[in-house]
Amino acid sequence: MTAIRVEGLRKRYPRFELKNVSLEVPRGSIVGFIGENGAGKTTTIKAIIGAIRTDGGTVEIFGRDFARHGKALKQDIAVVTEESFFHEEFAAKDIALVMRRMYVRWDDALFRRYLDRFNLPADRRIKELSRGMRMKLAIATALSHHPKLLILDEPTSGLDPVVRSEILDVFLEFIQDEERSILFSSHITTDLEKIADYIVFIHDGRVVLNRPKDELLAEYGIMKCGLNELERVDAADYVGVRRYDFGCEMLVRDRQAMRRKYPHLTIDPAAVEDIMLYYARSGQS
Amino acid sequence: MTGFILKDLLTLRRYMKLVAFAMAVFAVMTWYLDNPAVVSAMIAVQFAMLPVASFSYDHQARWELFAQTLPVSRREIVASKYVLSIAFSALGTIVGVGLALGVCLLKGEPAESRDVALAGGFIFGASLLFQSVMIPLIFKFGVEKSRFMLLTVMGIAALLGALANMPFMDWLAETSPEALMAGALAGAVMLTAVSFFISRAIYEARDI
Repeated sequence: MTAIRVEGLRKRYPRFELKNVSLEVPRGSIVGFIGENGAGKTTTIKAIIGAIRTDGGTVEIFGRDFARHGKALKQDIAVVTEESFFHEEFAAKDIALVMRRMYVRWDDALFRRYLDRFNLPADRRIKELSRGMRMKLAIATALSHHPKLLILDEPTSGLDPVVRSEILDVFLEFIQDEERSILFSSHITTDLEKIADYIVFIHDGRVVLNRPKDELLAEYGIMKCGLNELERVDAADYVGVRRYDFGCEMLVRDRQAMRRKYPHLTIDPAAVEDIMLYYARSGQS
Repeated sequence: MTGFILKDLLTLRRYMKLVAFAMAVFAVMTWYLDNPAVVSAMIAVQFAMLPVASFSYDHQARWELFAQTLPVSRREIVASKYVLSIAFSALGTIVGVGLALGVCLLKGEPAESRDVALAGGFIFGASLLFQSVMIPLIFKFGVEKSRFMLLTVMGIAALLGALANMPFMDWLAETSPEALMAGALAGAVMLTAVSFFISRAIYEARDI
């Protein structure tokens, strides 16, 4: 059973286009949605939650057509975006007053527990909070109606490592219930390496990679060689290449196979960030 | 929808304090003016601007995107703004006319109940008319552009009114105030309904 199934999503803007974006978020999993700024992550998320009208494609959430059942489905969804939230004159207690009227399962006690956990005073206005505290308040708000699906658009962007780690722990706790799922958009790939089960990489409006994270980390590698050796490497064996003054590095899809084929070359495991960079530079899909 | 209305009321708390201060100033003005209806209208204008201010606050907070994540339809989001506007129009009328009445009574010049009803009716109708034009413009173009566009529309309307001045003014002079008020109110209510459907169509088709 999938939490989100997106198929063939299309949206054309004058200078940008989502091109048949398809992805799935299986129940009980965290899907890391990566890509450089402007690649289409936020546009895809906006399309999923119905904030933009698409030119084609379908969005199903918990097996139901979102276009038809969006309002009811949103009772089970929470979305946290980087900037859009309540007005900065609001305090946490005001937010609770409003959200109580929005969600049938809004839980004041749970909200207070999150506020205590994050050391957020209930009566302090948003404008008096630091960036990290604002994001914690947004997350506390998102989690307090017992959602089954969390959609996060750059929630850790611009936060220090301590706050990021604290927030990631909350997401990991949330996912302990196997009925729950997270779609986590970020360009901070190290965060996703810590918690994601799957990686979906979008580049220039097109999904270029959609794989379990562990497979990616087990298979992909960075192969190094001298500039004079590059011409002896089959171009089909690598995704992209970076040239330096004294050598070059290539991203390879199957580092075990490459070790057998090029035993004299050094091959290190690739990080998700390496994979993203090489795919983005090569423009491959 | 009640959640959205409450959100707007909470957002407008500080602005409403300013309106309360303005009302105190207007109360003093009413005492010294011969025509308290002018001050009533000024108070109603303050209240009519509150929903417009709520759109500005929404824009500041980028609320619209967050609103899309909540379990509320776009129709309800639009409806909440209209409920707020009608409520503030009514409140502005009651406060404005009530203040004028109170001052008149204190001055020992009790107003005719017919005059009070007429003033209240016209002010409420004018307030609804303002909202009916303004809200669809805001949904389409945003607050800043809409303010400018409204000024342009009012300028054109005043110009056309001046051009067609004579026959229209004669007709107005011959029509009874009660009939005029009834017509203006009915027109404003109809326009509000039409305005709601236009706003809804605009907002439902819009990308956030």
